Amino acid sequence: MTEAGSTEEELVLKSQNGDRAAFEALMTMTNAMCWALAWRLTGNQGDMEDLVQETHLKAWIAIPKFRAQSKFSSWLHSIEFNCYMDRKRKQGKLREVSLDCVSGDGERPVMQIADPSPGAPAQMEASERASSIRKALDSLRPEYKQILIMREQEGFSQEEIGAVMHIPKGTVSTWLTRARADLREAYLKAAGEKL
Amino acid sequence: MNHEEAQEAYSRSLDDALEPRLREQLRAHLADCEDCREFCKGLKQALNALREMPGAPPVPPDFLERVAAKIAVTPQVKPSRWRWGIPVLAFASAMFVVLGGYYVSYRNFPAGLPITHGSAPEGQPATPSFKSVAAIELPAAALKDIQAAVKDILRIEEALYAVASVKPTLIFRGAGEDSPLERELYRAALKKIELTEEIKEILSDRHARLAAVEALKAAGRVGEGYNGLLTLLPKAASLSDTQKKTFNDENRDREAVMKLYASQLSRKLGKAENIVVPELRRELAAASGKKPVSSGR
Repeated sequence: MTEAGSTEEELVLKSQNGDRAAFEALMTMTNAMCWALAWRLTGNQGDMEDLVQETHLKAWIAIPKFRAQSKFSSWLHSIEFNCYMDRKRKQGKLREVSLDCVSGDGERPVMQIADPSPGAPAQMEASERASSIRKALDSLRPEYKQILIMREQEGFSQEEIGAVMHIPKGTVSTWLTRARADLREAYLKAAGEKL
Repeated sequence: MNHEEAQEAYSRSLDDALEPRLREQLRAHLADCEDCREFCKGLKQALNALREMPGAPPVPPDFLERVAAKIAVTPQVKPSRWRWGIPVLAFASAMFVVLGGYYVSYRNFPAGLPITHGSAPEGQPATPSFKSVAAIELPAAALKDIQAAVKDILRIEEALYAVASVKPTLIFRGAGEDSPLERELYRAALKKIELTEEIKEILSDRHARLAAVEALKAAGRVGEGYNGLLTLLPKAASLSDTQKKTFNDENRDREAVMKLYASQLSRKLGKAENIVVPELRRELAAASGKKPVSSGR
């Protein structure tokens, strides 16, 4: 990449002036973050690829408007979440596919084959936990889902969450409390259904 | 400390945001309360499961190349002459007027109220061929949110936003081809809120305050500022303490509502600049004549 050695700030400035190579370098720097978030939001590879692609494209289109009042990664996070919300609205609801019954490409069902190895029960338990928490997460209000992902999985501070979601810190704290309580209820319900 | 306070305090303790005094109170409560200990245990299990969710599959090797190919043929947009803040405030302020009107009048909505048509979009018939509002069922999750979120006026706003996430254009667009349907859905959502004594009191207070604000405006003591907030006029010097409180409370709520909507509207404003705001202004000008907020309690 010819942009190697440039800081994020420099790359943003160049991108704002239409420098595609600079934006590609930015994209390379931030893709892992976008990819991880997309996985958490959608839970399947088909949707996540579309979501990350759309996020990068929209960021490219909108970057001349980026005013650096927040971190670039926070701005990108907002774009990705808004893209997710838009897709969800358009589709009514994104396809919800349980993580424990799909292949890596998110399309083909995986055969459930009994595994006689000693680690199998633990793996099965972990798989059931993953399935229950995915179901619980998907049942939450979108903003609660976003706030939990940011806080519990990505380690954002309350101030950073406030900046991304454009809400005061007090509201972040309130929403976190409600989101956690809702998640707990939904998770225990989902886990109970599997017993 | 009661159960609700204890559970909230426990959540805050997870963010290291609990004062030592409350931490002690929480510890004492948990020592005596099995229900809350169960709550904390369940929450820990859920959060652990969340943190241990399986990681994402690897990025396909050609993924960034594919995106770069699309970017190569995608033009950027130049910054608009509009600053973001202006349409945000204009739109949010306008929405506040609409919501205020609904709060004042929604108790009078009879079942099956005919759709009130606003100005039809250019090229659209005045009476769109929408399916009957009665056929629309709000998802149970949205209803639950509405029911759970009606402790104060802002929580009602949040509940309505929850409905909007189901029917997204409900709040984002005050005009356009879906507008009459959206309004009916909006009213349907409001009608789903159980009118407890607490909520009746909130709505009644809200109604009274809107009437008081209208009276202050009619007396030339306050006016509508460009930023969507009330502003003091020269005659305001003689405001009583009660009137000052009305002024401050109203602006506090307006500001909170604007922030709430602004946070949700940030992306929709690209359209709002060119389409929604002008349409909405026309719509509101018509609607404000029909629903004066100063009507009697």
